[in-house]
Amino acid sequence: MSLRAEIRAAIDDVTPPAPALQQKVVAYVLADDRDRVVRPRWSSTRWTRSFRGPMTLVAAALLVVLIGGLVLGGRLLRDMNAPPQTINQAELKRLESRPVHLPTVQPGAECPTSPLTDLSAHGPQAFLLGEGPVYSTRLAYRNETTNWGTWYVLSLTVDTTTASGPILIRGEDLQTHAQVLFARAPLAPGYGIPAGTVVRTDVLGGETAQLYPEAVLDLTRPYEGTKKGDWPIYKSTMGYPKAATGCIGLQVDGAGFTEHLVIN
Amino acid sequence: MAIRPVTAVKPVSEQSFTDLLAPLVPHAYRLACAMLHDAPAAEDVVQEASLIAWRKLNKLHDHSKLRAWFLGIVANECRNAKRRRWVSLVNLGLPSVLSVPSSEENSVKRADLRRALLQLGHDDRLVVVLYFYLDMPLIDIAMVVGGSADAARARLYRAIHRLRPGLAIEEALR
Repeated sequence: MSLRAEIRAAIDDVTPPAPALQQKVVAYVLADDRDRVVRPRWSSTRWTRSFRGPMTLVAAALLVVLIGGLVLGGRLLRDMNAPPQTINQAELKRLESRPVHLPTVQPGAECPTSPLTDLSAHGPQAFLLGEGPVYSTRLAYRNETTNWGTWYVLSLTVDTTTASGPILIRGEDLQTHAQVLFARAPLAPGYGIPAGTVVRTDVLGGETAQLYPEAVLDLTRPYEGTKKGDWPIYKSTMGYPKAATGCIGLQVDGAGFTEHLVIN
Repeated sequence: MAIRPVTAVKPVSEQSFTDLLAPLVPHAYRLACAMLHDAPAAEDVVQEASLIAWRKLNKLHDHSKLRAWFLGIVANECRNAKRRRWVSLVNLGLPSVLSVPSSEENSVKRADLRRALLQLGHDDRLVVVLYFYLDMPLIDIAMVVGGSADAARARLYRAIHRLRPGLAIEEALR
């Protein structure tokens, strides 16, 4: 047996097939950095990249716990003292009066995902879906699966040089027309405020949550992870029922514009 | 409906990633497995390397060098992964090379060869893997490792000598 054959056989022993890796990599690369679910072994190695001894590791872990506690405590205090999220109701009514016109995708047809736009000059994520003024990440990582359906954290970046006022989000599955619903969780700045009439409830994170057909972005209160100088980021807990295909169309209405985003 | 164009925003084709980098993922995975002998770690490396490559893709002007360029990033991430592997060992309490379950002679030989490969330096192991496992020509290997084709050849010969001290180079390269 030649050395080449020996080496191939030896390495093949430790190279199991990874048929889904290509898809995983595509999803990973195109997903929002901050929404990406990092594997525990990866995150632990990143945190400890510069440490070189078990005792240092223990000390670093204690430091992380201490800083985490301070950050969480500070955040909790700030949220408790924050003013209630308010939306101009008259403006919201005007946006709600616009009819929702989303395309239909035939069963089996490819989901017509919105084009990617390079926003690397305006935030941490280079490529986002949409043509503006509202851009979305892909729904790469699910947040939770319940008896009703699947939940994601929708992450939107808004070009606030052209958009202002409240922004209304409504959506549906483009093949089944199943309605996309929004939950009031978490109660934090930068998360979409559910609006409209409660449609149903679902159990999210072990607690019963009321589900709404709309979410409203309050542009005055962006997601706290937005860096200074970047276009602001807004998030929303969004779900669709099990019957849906996951090809989701969102109609985004704001003062002077209506935009359609198609994500999957 | 009014959709406003955004100045200084450059539309890109979503296909560019799937067209250019995605086909190289299987090669990258094989390289990472060969370098690390740890499939889950290899998957992590490929994901991270793909992200780095995607972000830097516009800096690569000659797409004929894409494969070598991307594999160079993968190799670099493998080096980083090896540096932090001790953490995994602390966390998991596992040895880097698992014992061979079979007592068959061939299995033992393959395990011995893997150990020998792991004992090579990063660049030596990279050259061996690229040449023998990914069948890359020396000119492309030089692009991945950095340096000339002659330097890559010399490194390959040294690595072969360490792996198989008694084996003639001509016989090894067959």
